[in-house]
Amino acid sequence: MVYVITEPCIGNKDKSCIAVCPVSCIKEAANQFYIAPDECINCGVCEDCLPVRRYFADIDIPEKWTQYIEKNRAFADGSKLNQP
Amino acid sequence: MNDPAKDTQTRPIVSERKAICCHCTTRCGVLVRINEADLPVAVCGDPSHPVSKGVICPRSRAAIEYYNHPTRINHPSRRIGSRGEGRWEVISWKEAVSDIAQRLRQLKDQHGAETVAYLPGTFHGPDQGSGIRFMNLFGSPNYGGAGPICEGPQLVAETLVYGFGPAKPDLRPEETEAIVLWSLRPSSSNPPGWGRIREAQRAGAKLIVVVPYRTLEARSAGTWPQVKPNTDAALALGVINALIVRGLYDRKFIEANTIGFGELSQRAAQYDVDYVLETCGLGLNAFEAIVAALAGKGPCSLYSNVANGMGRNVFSYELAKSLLIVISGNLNRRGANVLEGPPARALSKVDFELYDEMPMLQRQKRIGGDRYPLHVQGYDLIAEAQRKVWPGRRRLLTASYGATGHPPSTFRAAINQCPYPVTALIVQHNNAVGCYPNSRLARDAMTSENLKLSVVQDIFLTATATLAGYATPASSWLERPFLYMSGQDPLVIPTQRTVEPSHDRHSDYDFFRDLGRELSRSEYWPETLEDAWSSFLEPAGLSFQELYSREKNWFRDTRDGAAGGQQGFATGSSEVFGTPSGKVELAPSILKTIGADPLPKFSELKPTDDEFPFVLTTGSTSIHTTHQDHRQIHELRRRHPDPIAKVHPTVAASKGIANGDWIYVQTAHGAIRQRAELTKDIRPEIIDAERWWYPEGSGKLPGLFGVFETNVNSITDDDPDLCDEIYGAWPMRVARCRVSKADN
Repeated sequence: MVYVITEPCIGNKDKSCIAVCPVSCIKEAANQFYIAPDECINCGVCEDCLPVRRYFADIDIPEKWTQYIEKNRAFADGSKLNQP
Repeated sequence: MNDPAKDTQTRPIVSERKAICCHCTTRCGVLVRINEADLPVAVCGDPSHPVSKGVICPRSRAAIEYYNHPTRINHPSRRIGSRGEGRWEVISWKEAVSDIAQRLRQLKDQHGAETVAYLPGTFHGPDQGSGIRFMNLFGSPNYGGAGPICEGPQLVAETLVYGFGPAKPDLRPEETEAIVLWSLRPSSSNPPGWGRIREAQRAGAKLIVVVPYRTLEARSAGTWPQVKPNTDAALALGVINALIVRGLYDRKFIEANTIGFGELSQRAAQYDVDYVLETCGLGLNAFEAIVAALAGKGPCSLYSNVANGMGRNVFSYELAKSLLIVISGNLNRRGANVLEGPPARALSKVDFELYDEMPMLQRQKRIGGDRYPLHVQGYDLIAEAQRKVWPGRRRLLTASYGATGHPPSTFRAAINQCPYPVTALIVQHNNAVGCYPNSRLARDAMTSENLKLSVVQDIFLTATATLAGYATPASSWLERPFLYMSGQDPLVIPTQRTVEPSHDRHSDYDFFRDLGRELSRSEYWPETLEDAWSSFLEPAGLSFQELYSREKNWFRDTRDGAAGGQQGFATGSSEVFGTPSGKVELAPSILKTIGADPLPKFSELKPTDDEFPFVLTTGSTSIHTTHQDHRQIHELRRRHPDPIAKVHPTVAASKGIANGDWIYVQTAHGAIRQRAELTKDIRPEIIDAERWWYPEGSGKLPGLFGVFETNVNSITDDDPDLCDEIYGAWPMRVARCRVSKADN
C-alpha cells in the first residue's frame, strides 16, 4: 500500500506536501506532483497537510481516479526517482 | 436522534496539547487537538520536537480510535468462572489492589518472594521502571519481558566492550561518508530516522543495507548484501578479519585505548572470506562493499537493532558488531557512532528501579541465573566498572536488559515448580500467550493448577488477560504524563496528559504505587508520576512542571550544554571507559570472569532436512502495527486485514499457491494459517510469517482470539538449549518449516 496523488492536484501545486514528506518521495512534474511508490513509506503525513484532499492511500482511491496509481508509478519509473 | 457521544466528538477544536506518542519506542512528538468538550479528537506531528520534527505515522494518527475503542478494559475485573471461560465481576480499583496485595503477601510467606514473577511487555507509556522498583523492593528477581529479543543483547554487549552503550549513529549530512544499515527497517519502525538517513544519502553518503529481504531500504541502497538469516555473526567476524589482515584497522586508537586485540585477531582469523561468503550466501562484491564503507576515509555510521538471528548467535553478533565499530575507527568519531553518555545531572529510570534494595541472596535466585550468570554476577560487575567513570551513579544499565529473567524458564517453573514454584504472575502490557516462542507454554502456565495468582494490566483484553484472575485497566499515553528520558542519551522531554483517564483506567505507575504502598514502605512511592519525575530532575535544578511549562520544553542534560557527539563525551575523557580495565575491551573481561567465551563466534544452523526444507523467519515490522498491538484498530486493520506469509514465487508455483491464497506454515511445533504474499524480494529458502491474533474473535478457551491458529510464535521453539548461551535470547527467526495450500 502506498499513497497516490490524484486529479485535484493538477494546476494547484502549493508545495506544502513536499515540505512535510519525511522521505522526500514527492516529485514535481509539469502540472502536478507525483509520489514515487517505491519510496513512499505510508506515513500519511501528506494526507494531513492540505485542506483539499488530493492524496489517497491506494486502497481508498475513488474509482474515477484509479488511473493515478499507474500515473504516479510511471512518472517515478521514468524519472528514476528511487535514486536519492 | 442525536448521539450524545458523537455530538461531543464533533464540537469545535479549541486547543492543541503537546504529547509524545507511545505506540512504539520511537516516541515521536505530537500535537493533540482538543475540542470544546475537552476531548482529544485528532493527532498530528509536533514540528517543535527536537528529534521527530513533525513526522508521525498511521499508528499515532489512529490514537483517537485507540483511546475511544469500545473493547478497551475500563474497570478492574475479577474472574468468577474457570480460567478462560470469560466470566468476570467488576470490582473497584481499591478492592482489586487490596485483594492482589493480600494474596501476594500470602504467597511470599509460603514460598518466598521469588515465587512472584513479573512479565512486562510493550509499554504504552513511560513508567516501566515502576514495576522493576516494586519487584526489587518486594524481593523477587524474577522479572523480564522481551529484553532478550529487543535491545538487551545490543546494550549489554556494547556496555561490556565500551563501558556504556549504545554507540549511537551520529548521522551528519555532508560529513557522514557511509551508512551501514544492518537488519533494520526504519521506514516502518522509525519513520523520522529513515528520513534522516535519506537526507544523508542525498547529501552524498553511501548506503549499504544488510538484510535478507529486499526491503524498501534495500531498494534504496547502493549495495544490498542479502545475508542469510542467522548468519550475521559470521559476516561481522569476516569483516573484522578482513579489516585486520588488510591493515585497514584504526591502529592508533587500538594501541591507545583497547585491550584484547591479539585475542580478537586470532578468533577472527577463523572467518576467512571464502567461508563467510558461502555461510552467509553473499557475493564478493557485497562483502567488499561493507569492508569499503567501514574502512573508508570518512566516518561510517553503523545502524543495527535486532539481529536477523535472534537466537543462538545473537549475542555474538552484537559483540562482533560492537567490535567492528571500534576496529574500523568509527567509535566516538563525529559523523559515525558516538557514546553520548547518560544524563549528566538528572536521574533516570535506572536509578528509579532501586536494584540494590534487593538482598544479594534474592538476586542469586533469578530463574535462569545459573545458566545465564551475565544477568546476576555480570550485572553487578558492569555497575562496579561504570562507577569508576561515573562515581555519582549507582547503576547506568537498566535491569530490564542487564538483569533480566528468562520467561521460557519462568513458564516452566510455573508449570513444573522447578527449580522452585512460581505461583504468581503479574503481566503488564504483554500478550504472553502469543508473544513468546512456543507460546502454548505461556497458556499452559497461565492455566496451571500450580499458578495461584495471575494479574494482567493492559489496554485491551488479550488472550493472556482472558486467562488471568484479575484484569486491570491501563491508561493509554493520551491519558498520562510522560518524561522522555532514555537513560542512554542526555535528551529530556516532559509532556503532560492531554486528557484525564477515562473510566477507572490507571497508569502502570498507579498500579505499582498502590500495590507497593500495601507491601513496602510508602515513602518509596510518590503520590503522582509528576512527583516521581520531579525527583529525577531535582539534581538538574528542575521540576517536572517547571520544565513542561517552558516554551522550549526540552533540554539536553550535558555538563557543558554542548550537543552530543563530542570526542570522548560519554567518558569525560578520550582515554577512560566504563569497563573494568578502563579501556575498550575487545575480549570483555566480565565475560571471562563469569566463565563465558569473551569473543564472538558463529554456530551453524541445523542442516536442511526434507521434512522442513525452509527457514522460517518472524517479527518483520509494519508501519500499521507494533508487535501484537493495533489489530483491533479499524483504521489500521483495514489496511492489513489478515496475517501475511511471504513466499518466493518459485516455491509457491511448486505448491500450487497463488498470491492471496490461505496457506499452512508448519513446523515441528504445529501449523498456522496465513495469507500468501508472493514476492521475489525474499530468498527462495525463506518463509516469513507474522505475529497475529483476531481481537474480534472469541477470547474464551480454547480459541483465545485465534492466537494458535494464526500466530507464528505458536510454532517456534523456546527450548533453553537453543537459546543464546550467554544472554538467553530465544531463537525466533531460525525455525525450519514447510508450506502447503490451505482451504480457501
